Amino acid sequence: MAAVQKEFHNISSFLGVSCGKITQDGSVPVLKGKAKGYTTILKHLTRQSKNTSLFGKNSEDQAAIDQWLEYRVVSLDRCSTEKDVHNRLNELNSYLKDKVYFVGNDLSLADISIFQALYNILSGMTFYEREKVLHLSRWYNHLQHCEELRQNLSVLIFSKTLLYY
Amino acid sequence: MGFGDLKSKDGLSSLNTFFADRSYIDGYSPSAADAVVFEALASAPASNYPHALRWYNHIKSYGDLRKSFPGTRKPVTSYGNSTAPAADGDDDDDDFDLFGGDDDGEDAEAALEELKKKRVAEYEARKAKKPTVIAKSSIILEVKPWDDETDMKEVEKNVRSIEADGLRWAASKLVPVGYGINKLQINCVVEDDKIGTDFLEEEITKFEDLVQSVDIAGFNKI
Repeated sequence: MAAVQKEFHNISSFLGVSCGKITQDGSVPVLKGKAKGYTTILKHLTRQSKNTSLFGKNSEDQAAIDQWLEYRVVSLDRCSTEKDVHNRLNELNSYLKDKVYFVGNDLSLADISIFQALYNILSGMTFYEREKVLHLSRWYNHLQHCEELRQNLSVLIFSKTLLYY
Repeated sequence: MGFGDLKSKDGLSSLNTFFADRSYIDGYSPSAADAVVFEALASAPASNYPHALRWYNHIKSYGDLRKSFPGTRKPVTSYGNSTAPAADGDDDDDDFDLFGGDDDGEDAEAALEELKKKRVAEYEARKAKKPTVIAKSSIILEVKPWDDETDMKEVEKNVRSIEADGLRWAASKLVPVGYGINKLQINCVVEDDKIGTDFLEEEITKFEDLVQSVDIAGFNKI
């Protein structure tokens, strides 16, 4: 199963809906007969699950969540070089410095989507590299302990070495 | 245990370091522990304690829900894992208690014992739930032959023929020592619980016709 299909599989089990068959048109995921495009399918699934709190509490939060979903597709998924990935991670890290969740004080679609996107990136990193993006690691570590969210992804291990402090 | 005096600079900075890689005091969801420490703070931590401040703001956002966080409330000094100065009064009276009555001491001891048992049980339960991580190490061995006539290919073949549970051979190379003699550097990955370096050295030196000595050139935990 390609990464994106796996991701939708995880997300739809988290939401408690069935995701149907996802195919790919180039790099664009397609939900047969219903929706095309990553964000479209994600929102479609969320609406189906009636789990609307994931969209944000008020219009500011909703806007911010939309912005992060866009970031996920336009920025995070289009990293072509190591350096791109590195820059994105640092960007996210500094954003999360004073936050527990991406938007507001609750779990939202932004967290879910970026969490899934980061699994592949973070799992290929060493302890030391993960520690360099400490805020991001803290956030990720927090989310991965929600088992419904993690589904069958393996638990990544984060450790803070006191040596560097 | 404890963060020290949360109104002092030391207390705040230990709280700050504690939260650098955590979102909540205990585990991965808000609990009574968060409420207790939150209430022990006089006000929001200053912005030079960014981690503590982030946590503070997050807990603050729960408003009155905070009072119903799950878990039992313990004194604020029992949270955290920094090495803040131990509570006073613990050690002082020990010296004078030599001939004193033991009555109240026993009670306290029994309570302590019980608490300890409970903690151990909790810890065991938590440990059992966690997927066990197998500790592995990567070891670089240097195998030195007797002279330049030793067939290094033969040496390598023999070394690789050692098989054991938890042992995997990896890349190897020949490093010239001088006068046409090469030593064999070979990398292997072992599971710490199953294989020791002594075992490896012993097994390799068994090929005594070929091998003069074995050294550990590198040892890394994975």
